[in-house]
Amino acid sequence: MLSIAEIIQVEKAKVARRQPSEEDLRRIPLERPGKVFGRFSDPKQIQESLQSMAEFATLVRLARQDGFHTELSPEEVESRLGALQRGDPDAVRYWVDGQLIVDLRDLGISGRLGPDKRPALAELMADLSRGEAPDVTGVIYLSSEGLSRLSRDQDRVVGYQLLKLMKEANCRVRTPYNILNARIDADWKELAEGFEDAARESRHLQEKHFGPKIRGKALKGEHVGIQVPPGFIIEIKGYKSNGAFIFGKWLPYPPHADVDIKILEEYVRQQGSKYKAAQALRGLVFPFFAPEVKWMETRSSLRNCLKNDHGYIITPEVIDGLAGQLALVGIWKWADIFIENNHPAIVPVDLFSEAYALHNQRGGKPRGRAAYHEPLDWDGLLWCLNHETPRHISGHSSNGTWVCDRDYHNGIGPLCLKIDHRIISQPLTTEFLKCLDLRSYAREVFDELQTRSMTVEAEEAMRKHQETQLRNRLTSLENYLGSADPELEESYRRQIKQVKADLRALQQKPPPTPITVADINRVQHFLENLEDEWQKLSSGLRNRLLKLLVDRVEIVHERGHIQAKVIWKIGFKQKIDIKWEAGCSAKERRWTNEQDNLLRTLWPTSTREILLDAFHERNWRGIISRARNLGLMRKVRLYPPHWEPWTPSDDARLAELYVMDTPVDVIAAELGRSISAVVDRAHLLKINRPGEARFLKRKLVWEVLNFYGLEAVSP
Amino acid sequence: MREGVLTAYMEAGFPYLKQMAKLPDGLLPDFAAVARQLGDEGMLKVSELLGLSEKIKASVAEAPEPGSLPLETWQEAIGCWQTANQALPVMMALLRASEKVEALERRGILVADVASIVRGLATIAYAIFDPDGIKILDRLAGILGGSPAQPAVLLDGYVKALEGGDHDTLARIEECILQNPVWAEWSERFLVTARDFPFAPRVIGVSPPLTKGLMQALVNMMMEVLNAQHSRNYPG
Repeated sequence: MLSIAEIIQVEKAKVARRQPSEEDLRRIPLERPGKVFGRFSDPKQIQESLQSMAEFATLVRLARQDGFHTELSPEEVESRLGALQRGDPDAVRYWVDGQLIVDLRDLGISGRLGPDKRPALAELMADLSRGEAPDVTGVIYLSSEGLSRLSRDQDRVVGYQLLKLMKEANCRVRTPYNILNARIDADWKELAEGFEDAARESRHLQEKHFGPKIRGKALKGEHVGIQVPPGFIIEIKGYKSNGAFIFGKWLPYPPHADVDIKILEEYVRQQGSKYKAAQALRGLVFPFFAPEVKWMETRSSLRNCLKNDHGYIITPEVIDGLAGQLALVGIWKWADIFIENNHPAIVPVDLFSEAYALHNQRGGKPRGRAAYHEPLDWDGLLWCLNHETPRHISGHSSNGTWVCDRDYHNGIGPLCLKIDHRIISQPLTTEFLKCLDLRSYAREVFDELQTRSMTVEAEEAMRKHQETQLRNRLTSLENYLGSADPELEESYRRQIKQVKADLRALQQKPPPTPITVADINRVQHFLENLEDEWQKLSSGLRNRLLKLLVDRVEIVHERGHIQAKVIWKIGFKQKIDIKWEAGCSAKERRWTNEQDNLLRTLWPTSTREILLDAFHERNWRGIISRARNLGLMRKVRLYPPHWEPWTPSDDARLAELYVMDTPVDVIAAELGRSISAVVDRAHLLKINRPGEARFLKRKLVWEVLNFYGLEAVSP
Repeated sequence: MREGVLTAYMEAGFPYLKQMAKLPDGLLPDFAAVARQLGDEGMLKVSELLGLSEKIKASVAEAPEPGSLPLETWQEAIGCWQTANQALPVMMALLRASEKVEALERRGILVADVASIVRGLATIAYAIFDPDGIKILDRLAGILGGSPAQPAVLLDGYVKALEGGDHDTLARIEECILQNPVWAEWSERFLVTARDFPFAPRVIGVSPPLTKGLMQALVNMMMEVLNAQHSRNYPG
């Protein structure tokens, strides 16, 4: 039986868990500032659009009606707006009026532009990013045109950024017709649709006004505002009355065109691998545009590239783009318009065809639907310290690898790290859990579990009760149907519709997760044996715990050796030295040119021992295989001096050991024979090795130093 | 001597020792549980061979309840203990040694028998805290090449011998301990006690503060484990 104190605790938990109602969320927060936000696309609209300008005064009145305290009289507001309309140079575009801020600094700036070009929008976003605070805008007043005043971003990025910020800051949007709060799901959808409509409308307007003109230019093969590929500049045909350029066709730009040729040649040489090509071309850059064509900097696609002191860096993405760029051979492509020989080709057609074929062949396969993979343990916590500044090591959960490849992707360096995730995760997890001691929290966890269990039961009971009430009400309302009074009949129908909607909403609400109440011993056991229970937990929860307790893991690595420093949030440090047998992955096993040359020299006449010494990281079978691939022949056949025929007792011992987990090198050592002799003999005698022994796991060893930083204490 | 008084002193005194010797938080979290498990009898049994049990009995016979002692008394008592300053370096060296031994075992290249390693490490670590321990430490320092006043360095030297596969040094250490009847028997009793101990005490136990987030994560984990068990037990 529960005590009064426990009952109060349960009730308190319920209150704490209660979500604010939609009514609460739509209520105007008068304790926070309100903002009247205004924007027109065209500066002319300030003078011409009398109604829109008058609407700002209406918005200020609306805010006052909502309960905001303002100091300026309506006449003063109208006078300020009038000054703006007249183009008065002293007119103010931003003022604070009591609790209300009127921000008209974006008047005359296109809604397609982002916060970098719109001061009012930038300030609003910065303000909202501070979250739900008393001095952060609590409501934005927009004219009847709605969200299009905030943004018409064509990429739909700014709109969603604003939505997220408004949600986090619990900021309402107030128009003359409604109040919306992004924290309410239905309002979020409506607001998102509003931004979508604003973007679409803008595009439509753009197309309506400029579409035919652009198409006309495109049909002539002239520049229409798209990014210019490297190797070209744009011909300037003349100047508009406002001083803007009138562009013509694209023209070759020799300093970049030469680089294009080199890139395509390398791409072909590397059989269509953009990464290998980027590595091979490391050091080569597209030089910066000469001062006389400086205006190309903002019009060339190179503006998106990384730069160094000498020019634009050639990244795998640049190479990929060039291999499929028809403009290089003089073909103009815009939407469905293709014009051959529109401008001079800057690369040989044969070379481009070859590169294009490789590019198309590789990209020909359609991408499958992305499969979800649980994140790797420690994902987001690992940092590679093999660089000047630490870099995040990404966890590729689909293939189970840790990768540090920013330089490689940018074409400015080799792949820094690509390693089986277990090599890092296993030692880290083992040592982390060995030191983590949560046993003392068993009572608190148990109490919380019990509280949750009671709350879940209460919620479930409440839900059933509500459902029954709604069903009863529905039955009653349905019985009233058939009234002679059409108004009454309409009212019943409306109410039935509402009850049905409520019932549906209640049924669709996910049921609370049931809790199996455990006894405290089970909780104690769980916390004591977290190491054993770890793998039973979902990856998300494992990572949640790790991220709560670990600040970061600093990784310094070299071939076959990783030094990891686990830094806990409470300051405890662990240093873990991980060693593994290098040469196990395909990449690590790859033969280098130096090794090939050495093998060519040694193979014809050297003994097996000399060869094994020379290639100490490789086994005999690997050396033979490589020699065969290189077409090398032995000039002498050297038998080991200790060679002896197999005896029945040798065979019996081999049969005994081979079916167990005994490693082949151990069997070979015991029988005084080589590994290949043991394997060949077992094959000859048809002794099958069990699967688990055949695919032995990679040998991984590590060493930990806990209380890292305290190791140098002396008496 | 009153029953349980030694255990109570060990339990109550360890936090003060930790504080004064500046032992890091999280080191030996199960110290109190180990003391309780051993009890007065167990602790006296291990120390009687070194002639300490009588002194201990005499010291605590008339002592007041440890809970009633003020902080200053504890500080004064620990301050009088001449080798208290060795606690931190010896503990840290012992921790390093155990981590290294574990690593060597994981790599399969542990050259000595585990019992022999425990004997060596326990003797070197404990001898400095025994009034007569300096004699054996002196001999061990002669083998390992260090000073008897710095047992932490000797422990490091022992681990180096293990790492380097220096069978000769390891054998000489073993021989030195076994030739000394007191330490041979003490180490044997220590090994037996350790072997028969009902649970494996934690060497390090870092307990981060129980924040709301941590509590939620633990409860969710618990629920996941319990619900998984429930579904597994479901028939069919």
